[in-house]
Amino acid sequence: MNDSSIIALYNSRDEQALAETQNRLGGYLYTVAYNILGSAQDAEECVNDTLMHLWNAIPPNHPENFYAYAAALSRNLARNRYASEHAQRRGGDTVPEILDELHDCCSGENVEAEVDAHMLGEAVTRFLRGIKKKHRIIFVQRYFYHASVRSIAEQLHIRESYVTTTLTRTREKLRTFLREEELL
Amino acid sequence: MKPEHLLDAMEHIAPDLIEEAKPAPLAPVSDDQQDEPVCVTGKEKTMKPIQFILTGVSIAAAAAVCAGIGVFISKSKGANDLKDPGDSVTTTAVTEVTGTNGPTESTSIMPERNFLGGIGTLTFQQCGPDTLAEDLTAWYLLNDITVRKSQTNSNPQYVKIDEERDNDTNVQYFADCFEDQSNLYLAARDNVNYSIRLYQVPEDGDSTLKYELPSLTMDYDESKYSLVNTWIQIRDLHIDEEKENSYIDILTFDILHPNDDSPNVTHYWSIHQLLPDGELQRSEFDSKEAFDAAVNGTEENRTLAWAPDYRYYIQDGNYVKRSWDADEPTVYPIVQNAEFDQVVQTEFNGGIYAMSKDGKTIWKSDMDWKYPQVVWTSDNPDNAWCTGNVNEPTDPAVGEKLIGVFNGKVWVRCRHHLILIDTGTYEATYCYDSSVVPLSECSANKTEPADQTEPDDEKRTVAGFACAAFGEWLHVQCGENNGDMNHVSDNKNLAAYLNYSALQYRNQLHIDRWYSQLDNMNIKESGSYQGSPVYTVTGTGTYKDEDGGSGAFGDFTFIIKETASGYTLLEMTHYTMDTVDQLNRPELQGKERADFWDDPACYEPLMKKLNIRMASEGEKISYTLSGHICFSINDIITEYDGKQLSKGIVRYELYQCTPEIMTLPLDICRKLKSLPQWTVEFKDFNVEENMSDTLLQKDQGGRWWIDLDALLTRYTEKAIIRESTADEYGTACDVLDIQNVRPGGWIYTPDAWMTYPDDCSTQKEDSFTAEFVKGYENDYFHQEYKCTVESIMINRDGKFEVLLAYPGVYEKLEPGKKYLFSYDYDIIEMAEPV
Repeated sequence: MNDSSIIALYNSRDEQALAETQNRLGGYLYTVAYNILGSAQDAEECVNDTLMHLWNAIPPNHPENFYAYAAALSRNLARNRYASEHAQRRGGDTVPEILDELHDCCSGENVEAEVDAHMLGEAVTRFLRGIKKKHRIIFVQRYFYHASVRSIAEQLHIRESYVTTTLTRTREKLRTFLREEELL
Repeated sequence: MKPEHLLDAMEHIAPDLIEEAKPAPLAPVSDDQQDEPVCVTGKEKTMKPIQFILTGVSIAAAAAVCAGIGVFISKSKGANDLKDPGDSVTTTAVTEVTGTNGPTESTSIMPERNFLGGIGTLTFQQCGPDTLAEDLTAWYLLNDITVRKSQTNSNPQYVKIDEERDNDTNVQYFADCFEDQSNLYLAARDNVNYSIRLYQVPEDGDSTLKYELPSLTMDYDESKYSLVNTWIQIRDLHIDEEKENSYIDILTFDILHPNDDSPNVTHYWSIHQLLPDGELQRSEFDSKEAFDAAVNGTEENRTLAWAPDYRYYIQDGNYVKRSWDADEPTVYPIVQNAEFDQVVQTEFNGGIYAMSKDGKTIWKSDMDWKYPQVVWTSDNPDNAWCTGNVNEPTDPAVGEKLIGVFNGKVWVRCRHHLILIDTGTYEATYCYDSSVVPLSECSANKTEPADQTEPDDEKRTVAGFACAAFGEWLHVQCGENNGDMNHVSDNKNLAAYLNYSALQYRNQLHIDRWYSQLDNMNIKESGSYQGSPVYTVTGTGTYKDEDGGSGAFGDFTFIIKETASGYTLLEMTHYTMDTVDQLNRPELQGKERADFWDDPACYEPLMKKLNIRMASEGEKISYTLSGHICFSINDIITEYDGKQLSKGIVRYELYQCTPEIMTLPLDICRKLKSLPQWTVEFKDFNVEENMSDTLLQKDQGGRWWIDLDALLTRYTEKAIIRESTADEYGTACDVLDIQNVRPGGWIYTPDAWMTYPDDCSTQKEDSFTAEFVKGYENDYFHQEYKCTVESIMINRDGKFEVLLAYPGVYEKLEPGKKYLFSYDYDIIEMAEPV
């Protein structure tokens, strides 16, 4: 069943929508959550939460990209769960190290400045569209999906050191970009 | 801004970017699930999982026998679950090996063919070097499950494999491919459990999943090790409707890292054989040497032929058939104290040919030497003319080398002739002096030389004779000793090319000197270049001056790659003459700049020095490249012999074309030089149509001029000027960002890669020191070799040309030679000489 059909089920309040979403996207949503939480049980609960939120959000929402919408929702819920429960670092928990990494491109004159997340997201999107696809995928896998360096390397069939190098350089470029955009 | 803000913002990036980077989904697992290894010791039978799909029939395989000590089989490998009752597999011992530092030799992991593994996104790989040499047809493996067949870049054929599986939760990558006479076979690796699916792709038709094999990685104790990499290569494959005639050989190479961060990286080489009866037999080796010996034999017992169960070779005068058992090889001398010492093999099961030690008899037999037949003997009166010396007809006909079986002929080299024995009729064809008659025109006349001209005895004395098999072709060099010229010919222009190259080189040395002789020529395959075989031709030569003087010019080496259309000279070395001195011609003295291009005596030596030529009158310079051209400026000469030229000379290379020359006004040269990198690529540009008007003009002297200024102006909107800084990172340090270096023929650095200074910006673009590190995945075994990279230039799309200055950083990385590095997928190759 394709995305449109699943959304149609949501709109018609057919609970089959949840089963179809689980069937189609469950693995991906689980991956996102597991990368952040590092716990299978927490990740599965997060997937269930995501399904619940989707049920509540559609309608009225009608996401153009159902996968991205659901993935972002799963990520958001996982991060909230992580923050609220102060989970112990386990397994695939990548949040602390990712935050460490992102210091690279966040250090500016006004560290405390609040930046509108939507505006910043749009800027990051512009930046990412300007770099190599391969590097973009590495970056998004790392900082959206919280994927480990190793899993990125395995999926893309590249060395871990390549992933690390690419991330470092991309962060440097992002920092330059954000400065030029006066977001730093 | 805090990192948390940026992390929050990632949620709001464009959905398509999120989807683009979709990761491989994980299967939910229980937190309590543990992958406890099960240790099976002794000779207990262990049911191992396997599912075969052969022509739609599931085959029950035999029971397994683990004969080793300390056999670890992981429960966590899903592919190792039995699919059908009774399915099993025989496997040899899997002995845990620890403390191995892995190979230290910088030799190829796998013989014969380069790896194709590691197919990732955003790239493609040619499927096997063999296919390209035939007809410029190559299969490419794309990142997903698509295959492209490219025929000279036109009419690409796309084949979708197993489309349903595209949406499967398992990620699969193509690991290797293998092409037989009618089908292409693709080995796709499941990236989760490493199982292998073998697809058959007919020339015309849908793909079929033929086999599904379990994980071909070694079994290992996952509590101790992590599998960090594995390569898979189909070594041999034969699929027959009669399943008993089918077999598959797959070679794998696994790298295991210890989980405790100890430096005991372990490498395993394995040979997996799917035998006709459905058994999957595996032999594993913890050393490269043992693996090589099992695959090819040692120098002393080089494998002649492979079979599903055996390999054949000659050892100590015995023709040996050796069973497949790495630990306890069983040797069956088929012919003891064999009277022959040279054997060549046709296709498997096609029999072998053997030549007697005295060179007077050639047999054909089946592989097990049960039914030998004499196919040629010098005792036959018809063969008497095949003498060792045309001037001494009484010399016996003696075969010197059994070269091979090509084009339905057994090729045998006598001292001065070739014998071609038809594999069907056993009729022998003799090729006389190849310096006169190209081999392709060999007469079938057995009793007379093909050359009907009256030989001049003095001239006909062949001074040298060397030949070697190049794929399906044989090449012969021989010459005359009267010093007039060097004759080299063959049936595919190699020798002619050598001769041409020699002449070219002669021109570089001095226009009035030539080679009169190439002696002691030795040809051997020495690797591959861009998927094509590369050969090294060595020998010595002599020259003769225009005034009658002569002498030796010493050793030479040609390095040649074979292509479908002929040969390309990669490199030619010569060390005994000073080319510069030869070019200091007195007639150039006092010439004004403006005169330079008007006087061939002025510019021709320079042209010759550059190994280039002017377009001749009426010669049309045109290239039609399907709307896509790219040329790289390799060099710009603005000064010659200490004098400023009125026009610059630009050597450029059209994409997929041979190097050419163009002369440009100096201001254009300067403009070119000012470009960050001298590669200009035009999209949707037909050279023939667009460069024949105002852009490409011919002057009164018949020289063609390209108005690059106008060219750039007109096509700026279509041109992609590739800058050395055009890549995101912008510095030459990028060249050091080489990952996944794999065997590339000339140099082999499976475990080596380069590191680079953290701060690339401090490095000059054209000179910096790179550090080559020979080690393993996680830097445990750094053996550092430092070298100086003298220059780096982005040569073509994504490739970096690196000139290494000092020292030999790696066994086969030689200073003073250039190598190509691809940016994305990291194949290292020897660069074309400029």
